[in-house]
Amino acid sequence: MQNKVKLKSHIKTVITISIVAVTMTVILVVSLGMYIVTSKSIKENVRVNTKLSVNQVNYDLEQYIKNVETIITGLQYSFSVEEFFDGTKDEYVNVSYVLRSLIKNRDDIINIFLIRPDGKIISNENKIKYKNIDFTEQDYYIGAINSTNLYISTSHVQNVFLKKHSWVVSCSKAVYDKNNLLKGVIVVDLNFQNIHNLIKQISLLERGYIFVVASDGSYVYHPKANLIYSGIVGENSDVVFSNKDDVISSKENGENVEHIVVSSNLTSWKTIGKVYANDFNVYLNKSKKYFIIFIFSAFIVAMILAYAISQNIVRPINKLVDGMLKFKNGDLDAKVEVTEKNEFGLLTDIFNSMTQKIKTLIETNKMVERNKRKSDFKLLQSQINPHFLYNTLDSIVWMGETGKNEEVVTMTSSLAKMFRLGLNRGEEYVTIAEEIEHINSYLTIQKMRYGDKLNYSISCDEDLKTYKIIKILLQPIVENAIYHGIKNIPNKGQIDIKIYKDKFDKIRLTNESKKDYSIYFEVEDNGPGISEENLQKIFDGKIKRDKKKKGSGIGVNNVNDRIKMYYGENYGLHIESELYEGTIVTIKLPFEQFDEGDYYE
Amino acid sequence: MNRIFEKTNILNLVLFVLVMIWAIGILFLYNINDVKNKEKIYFVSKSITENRQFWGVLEDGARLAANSNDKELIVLGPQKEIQIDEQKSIMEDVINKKPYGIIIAATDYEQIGEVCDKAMKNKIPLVAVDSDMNTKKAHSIVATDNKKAAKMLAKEVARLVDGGKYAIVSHVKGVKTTTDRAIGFKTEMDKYDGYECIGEYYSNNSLEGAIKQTEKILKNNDVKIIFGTNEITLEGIGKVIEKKGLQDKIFIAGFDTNKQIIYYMETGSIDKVMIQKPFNMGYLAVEELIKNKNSGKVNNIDTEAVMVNKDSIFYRANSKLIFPIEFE
Repeated sequence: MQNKVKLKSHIKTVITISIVAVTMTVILVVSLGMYIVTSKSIKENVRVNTKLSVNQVNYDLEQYIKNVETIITGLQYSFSVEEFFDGTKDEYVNVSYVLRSLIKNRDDIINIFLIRPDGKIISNENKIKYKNIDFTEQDYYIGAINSTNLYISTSHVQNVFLKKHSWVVSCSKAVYDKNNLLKGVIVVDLNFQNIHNLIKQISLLERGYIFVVASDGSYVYHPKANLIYSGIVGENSDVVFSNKDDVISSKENGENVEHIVVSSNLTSWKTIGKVYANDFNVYLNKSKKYFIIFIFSAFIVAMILAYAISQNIVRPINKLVDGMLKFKNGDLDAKVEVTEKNEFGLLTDIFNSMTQKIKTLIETNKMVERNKRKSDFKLLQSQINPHFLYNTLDSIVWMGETGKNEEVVTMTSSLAKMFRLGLNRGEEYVTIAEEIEHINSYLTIQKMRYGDKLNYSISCDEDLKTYKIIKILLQPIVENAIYHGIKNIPNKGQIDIKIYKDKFDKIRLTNESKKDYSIYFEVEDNGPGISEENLQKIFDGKIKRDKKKKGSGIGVNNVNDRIKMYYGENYGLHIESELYEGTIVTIKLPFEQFDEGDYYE
Repeated sequence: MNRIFEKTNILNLVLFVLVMIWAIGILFLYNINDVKNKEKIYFVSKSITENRQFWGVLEDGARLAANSNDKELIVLGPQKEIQIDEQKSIMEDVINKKPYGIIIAATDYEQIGEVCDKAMKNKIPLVAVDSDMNTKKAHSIVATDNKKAAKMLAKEVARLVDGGKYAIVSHVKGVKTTTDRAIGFKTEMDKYDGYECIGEYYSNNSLEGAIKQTEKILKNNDVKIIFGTNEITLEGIGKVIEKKGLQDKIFIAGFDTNKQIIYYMETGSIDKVMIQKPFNMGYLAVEELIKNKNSGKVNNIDTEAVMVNKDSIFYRANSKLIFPIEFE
């Protein structure tokens, strides 16, 4: 037999896919959220770091200048400097020595020189020749006398000496006497190499850089200065000339660029950090890559777990299915081992006890069917009991010969009636009225044979007569009562048949107590009775039919078995006997009306 | 029934394993990507020891451009400019590495051409920087237009010096830059009346050679202008002029500077110098290489030269060229 459901999907696959789908959805949503948060914080971080770098550069630049300020302040009040500015001597070797010792062992300052308004100059160098130029026309000199504070030049190559050309930032300050008359200018050259190296090492992301702009817009430091001077690249003038600290976004060759501007009050320079937007993406891509790796590993773990979980869930189901298939294919002993203590275990257990029950049921059914057939056969046999038939026919012949026509008619019609009712068109059930008629016919025949030796009476509750019962219940009992009972006594025999209903368990056949009505059939004879021993044997089925003896051949047992088969263990036959007194056989049947359905079944 | 069960189970397992392999494969690929280096641009220089100021600045410019374009710059080259075969074999090695592109400063116009053709045949973009070479297939050149620069210089000399005899001291005979400068100078001078070339001399790219040649020229007392075609030659000329105290008598013009030449300029021995822009040259060479790789177009880019005298060397833009901060 084919199964109606064809396996198109497996629970295992469904569970695996479901778990993976749920896990991956959660992971994807969480990852996406995390990615968005991370990319935001990366951008924020880069901005903060850029700002920090720019601020640091600005701070360092200010520190350089502050150092210079300290030196200049010291020099202003130094005796030897005053001596030079006063111009009282011709030789100032001492001044040069003082200047030299000031910057000895420091690499942040390259030169210090003093310039008098008359053009006379002196510096820390005493071996290198000065260039033949007018120092009072130089930027650092003019700048100093035009400003009240420290004048700071942009980065430039110092052209004071021959053969000494250093990149410097010149810081200069004019010195005045009590009468506010210019005494001279002190110039300190900061080593620009240091500033250059300091800024150059800082890179902002991949391509970003820091540059420093002087207040006039010239570049103090720019990594691409050469290209700018040649006009190959340029900076956004809005940025270069911006006058407040800000983050300025602009476009450069179609790419977004962010400028972080920090300006210094001390130097009046602007330190500007420039970051390319596309460089952010490099970092974002890196984090994206990690997220993808994370998602993939999560996917693999989810797959493995889902597979293991579904395997575990499905294993007992498959075992159960295997067991069921075995059972279905006819192995009634199929049993599935209970391994789990959960619903599956319960299911397996139920399955096991179910198969057990089905097996018992099938076997009982088989036996019942067999017995039914057997007893039906015996019943059939009883209908055509040859001895009874011979004897009856003999009696008819004898009565016919003696001219007892009336008796012949009675006997023949009784015989016919008896057979007709016994066969009952092959149906199993008859009404109690019909059963009475049947036993009446039988007793009429026997009465005619035994004469006064056999007396009988039949009484029945009127309302019971329409009740249906299985056929031929009384005849075997009455037959027994005649052949084993009254036949063996010298006196007159008496058989009394009573049919009635009673509420109480008149006879208890099982431990089960019944409160309902039952129908009772009582057959009482005054025969010699049955010994205890024999009584037991009757119920055990050990008394074999005596073939030599006349009789229907089916006994009490058959009746009892049939009742139990049709009505269950609660109903059956009960024998009560007393030696030399008589026997009462009681049949107990349920008090219930069969409906049509049952009848025709 | 049971058989079908087993079959689908095996199918599931196979599917599962396939997914695993796929996932692991992708992870592996990502890891490879992680360690993948930047694309490499090779700069095959003329010499990695000589003329460091010029080449060092050029490399700086190239490196800045490479970094801006997320590339790595690798500098290779022979020890000396005269090692032409060495440069050829370096080129062969570089071609075998199949780099993103090659920038080359040819040590010889004719001999280097073949190996450059080989690179381009292998679909490696190639850009000549500073010194060109003779290739069959067209390539981009990023260099100073030496003829044009020499003409400019000659024009200025003609403006400042009122006629007379002049001499040209070149560095190496047959080298493209030399010839271009000498021819350019001479062509321009010939346009003006009153100038006479007494001949072209060769210093062979050595200070001694330059001094020797200058002293030889000075034997002809009438000479009023001397043109030196490169740094070492110009320095030699300057040295002789200072020694002999001829600062005011002879006008010295030339190409390229160093510390000594600056000194000679400040003291008046050398009067006009053409300064090239190696930083821009390096930067533009890399930019051009990337453009060429993307578009296949070939360009001839003049990085121009600046003419300076003793005052203008301290202009900030010029100072940046003359005193490269890294090479102080």
